[in-house]
Amino acid sequence: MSHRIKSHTEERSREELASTQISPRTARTLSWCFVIIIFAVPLIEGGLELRKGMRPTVLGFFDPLTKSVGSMATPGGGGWKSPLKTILSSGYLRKYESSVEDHSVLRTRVQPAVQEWLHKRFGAGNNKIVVGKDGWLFYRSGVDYLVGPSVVDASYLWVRSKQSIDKQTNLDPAPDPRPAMDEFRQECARRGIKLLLLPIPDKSMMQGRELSPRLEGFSGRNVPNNRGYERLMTEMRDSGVEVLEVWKTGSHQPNSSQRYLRRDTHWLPSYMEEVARATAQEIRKRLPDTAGDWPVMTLRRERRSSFGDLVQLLRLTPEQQVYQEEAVDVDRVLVDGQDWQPDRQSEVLILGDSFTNIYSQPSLGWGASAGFAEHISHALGRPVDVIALNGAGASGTRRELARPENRDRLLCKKIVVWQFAIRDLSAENWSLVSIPSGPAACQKPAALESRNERPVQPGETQASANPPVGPLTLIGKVVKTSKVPEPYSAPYSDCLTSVLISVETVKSGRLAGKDLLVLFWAMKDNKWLPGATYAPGDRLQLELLPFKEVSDVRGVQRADDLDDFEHIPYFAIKETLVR
Amino acid sequence: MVFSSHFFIFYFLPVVLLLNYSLPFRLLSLTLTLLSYAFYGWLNPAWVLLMLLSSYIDYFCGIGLVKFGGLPLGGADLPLLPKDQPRNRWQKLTLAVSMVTNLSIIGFFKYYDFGATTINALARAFGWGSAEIGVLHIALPIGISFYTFQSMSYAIDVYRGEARAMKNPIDFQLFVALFPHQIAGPIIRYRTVAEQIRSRSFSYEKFARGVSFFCLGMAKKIILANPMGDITDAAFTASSLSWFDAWYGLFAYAFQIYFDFSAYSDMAVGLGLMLGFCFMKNFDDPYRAVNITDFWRRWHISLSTWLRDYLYIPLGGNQGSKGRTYANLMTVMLLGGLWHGASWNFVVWGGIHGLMLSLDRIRGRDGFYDRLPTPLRVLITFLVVNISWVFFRAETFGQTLEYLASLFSLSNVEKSTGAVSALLYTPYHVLMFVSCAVTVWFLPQVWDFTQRITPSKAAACLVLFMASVALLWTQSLNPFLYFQF
Repeated sequence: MSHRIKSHTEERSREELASTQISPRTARTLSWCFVIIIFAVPLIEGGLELRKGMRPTVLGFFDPLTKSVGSMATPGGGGWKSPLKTILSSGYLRKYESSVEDHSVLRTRVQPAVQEWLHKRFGAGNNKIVVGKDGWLFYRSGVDYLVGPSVVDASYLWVRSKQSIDKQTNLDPAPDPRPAMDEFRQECARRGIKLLLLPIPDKSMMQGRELSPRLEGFSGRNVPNNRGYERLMTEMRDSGVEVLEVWKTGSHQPNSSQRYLRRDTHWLPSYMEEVARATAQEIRKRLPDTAGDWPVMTLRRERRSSFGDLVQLLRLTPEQQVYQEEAVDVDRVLVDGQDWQPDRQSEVLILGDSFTNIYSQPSLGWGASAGFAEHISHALGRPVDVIALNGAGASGTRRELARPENRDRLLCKKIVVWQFAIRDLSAENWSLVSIPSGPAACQKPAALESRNERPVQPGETQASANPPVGPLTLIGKVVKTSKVPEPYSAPYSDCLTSVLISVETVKSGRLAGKDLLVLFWAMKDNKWLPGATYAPGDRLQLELLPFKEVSDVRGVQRADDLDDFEHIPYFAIKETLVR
Repeated sequence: MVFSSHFFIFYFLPVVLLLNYSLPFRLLSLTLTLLSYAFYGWLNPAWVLLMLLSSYIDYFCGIGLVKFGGLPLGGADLPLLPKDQPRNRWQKLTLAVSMVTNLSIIGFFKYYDFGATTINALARAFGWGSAEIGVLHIALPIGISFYTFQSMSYAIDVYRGEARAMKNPIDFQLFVALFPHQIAGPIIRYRTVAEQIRSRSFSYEKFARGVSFFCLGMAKKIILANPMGDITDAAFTASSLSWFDAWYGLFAYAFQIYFDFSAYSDMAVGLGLMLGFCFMKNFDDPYRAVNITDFWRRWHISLSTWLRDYLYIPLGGNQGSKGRTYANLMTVMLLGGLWHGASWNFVVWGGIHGLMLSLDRIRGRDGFYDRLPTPLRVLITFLVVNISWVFFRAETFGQTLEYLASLFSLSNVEKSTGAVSALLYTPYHVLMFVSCAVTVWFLPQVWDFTQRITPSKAAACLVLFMASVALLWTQSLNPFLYFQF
């Protein structure tokens, strides 16, 4: 070890750099090899894309300009300002960079092989996955919740806000869940509705012994939890919020060996059904014993299998042999022999996330009609209403309630169960959402779906008073977009995005107003689709359906930064960029 | 944009090199300036305006210093201000404009919220009314501390007569914005690059050395620093830790910050060489230092020399009484700490180093400490530096105290946080931890390794580069730590 006391100077640096000992041949070889490597990658990638008949992704940088050239030919098409504004807007360049990286053929091929090698050889996970024992995988965000700072620690909440702002991920951060919970309790209480919070424990809490040997002492109802959880729930109870902590209830079987899927973020069907029964029991305690002619529900056992969302997030090669599919038995809930459907007129509303959807939304990989709401309904023996959005337990479901087409949802309700993943307490934004009043009284579906226009009532918008019906074809211009999550950034491989469209021409169908909220597919199988890249000023020809008529995408994760609670959303079934 | 990103390496850098080696020299300043602005504005283009503002104020201050000195503005080069003549009132005012503007920019963006929060907290504590100063939640423009210091050094150098004012505004913008060092240094003094902006040489030797710096810097960042970042993040966000986990997490941070920051500097030096520039060495085996004075000769050298030349010496340096010297050291280190970020933690971090520097002076040479075996002194210095890193890394003062308590087994270890071991001790992370220790204490640093480049070393550089790129694709975006400063 040398001990140099003389400080380094700029002059000495220059002298050292000027006296490099390298033969001319080595210098030339090293220089050219490096240049060839860094030039070869983009050339090969561009060449491969051209061979497939695609335009090289890297040229996407100029899209706003080329679109503008196209639209300048049309009357009112806009000039150069708009595309330049797009390019210079915060986030556009990052989005473009992400798009180039995601489309990199070399990266797509090499990354899984390297990840698999690291995983097999060194037990490495990645920034989303923590590798447990005996083939168990855990979602990093859940482990962070468990071991991280108290979720109600003031300085931690301040740090989260600051980081959101500095990284520009959210300029209006709301990391503290308490105001949102209290506000929603008040919204419910104003309507005479009881609110029941249902935090779903994280896999790392319930399967601790599979995560770390140091958690082997925990079992049964002795469940490790975030340092601040108890304080949060005490405060919430003190302010009148009721909470169901399923791991503390009497029905919770001590020392049960497995409650979660080995390689998925979510619960096993058996545990979900156990929680559904406990929830139904709590609902019964709070619900007046109203008689009803409820349909008979039956269960049909089915075997379902999948690799699990965590294997997908680990991003191994498609032909990987490290993990096999995991098979589970689920009970599909049938009503008169048909798949169970939510009932908007029910007195019970379940707000949920992917824990509610895992066995009811096929895109999550575990089939349909056997989800959490279905089993609550079965355990109650009566229909329930449900709004469940993947990854949106903290704020998204309440935002849905605030939308015009859902303003009747709270009318007939006596109890709302707000299910969310407990890890959201330390990771999500808990926005305050004020829910406007809907129609005056609980109405029958026929009245809501009347095809005749009716006058706007107090508390309604034009859109909510006259809900859209049937398909619509139009040309419109993108006004505002939402920030679509990066592929593989969440356990959900699909995502919709909300876009505000200014209508230019209606080609067919009926439309009230000039602006439209349109939901596009933004990501499927962790690949961005055109919807993810639309920018203000883009002109689109769209074929739309009212979103409420598109049932199979309703629970899909949604990127929505628009805070638009005026327009009823449509869903784009066909979209074409108009140049 | 980040050097260690797919887009930078395979798209931005090829374009830069292509233009740098195909355009005539007279167009290079403008081209590199525009490319540097694109690089800087990548995350938020609006921040370029701020950089332009800072640049143009200093540019005009430079011209003003010459003009108010009664010197001619004609000719290819502006004249040097005579060193031995006192400056007049207008020149002093011009320098003050530069200083005040730059310090205001950095003060507003970096310290406004911190100041407002502190004042509000004090007001609440002393019951001085309920009216609070509004906190603006301002996003911190990346690299602001680096480029404002660089820009300021220009006006000071011109004022002191140590450098000529620049006539061509594009050349001056290039000095401030030049992308290799723009966001996280090394902090370049105007007088050392002014000549290179006007004329510099290109050669295969220079380019090849630059390539080897870039490849090895990339390897340090991707292979060593990022896995250490995983350990650090887990340790520093855990609500409680055992003493062993805490020390392991802290050493991982020591490795992370060194490999991350020195990697950035190596890549910056490498990119500079590829473009014909020579930047200064920023790290010189800092964890082999035998005391804190030695550490500061090896750690972030461009900042420590900047603080020495533009703050410590103007304050009087060591020319006054002993007490005055200690006070100067303390002032410089406290401000140096605050330069890193708007938090009391950074102030305390600076204070610890100021105190240790003063103790080094009080102790003098040839005392008991200096007779200890070198490895023991290196270990003691490393431990002191590590304790100070707790203040540097922890997000809040409360977290700092908790972490320090964990280090010395003074905190209650909650059983639930045993789960943190799943994050800390994967075989991969343990292997990388050991590799970091070996690299720090037993392998040559990049500057020495690349002093003599043999074919096998050249091959090793390329292999490490390709391995780093392959690993990069498995990692999420990992900006350099010093971007936040």
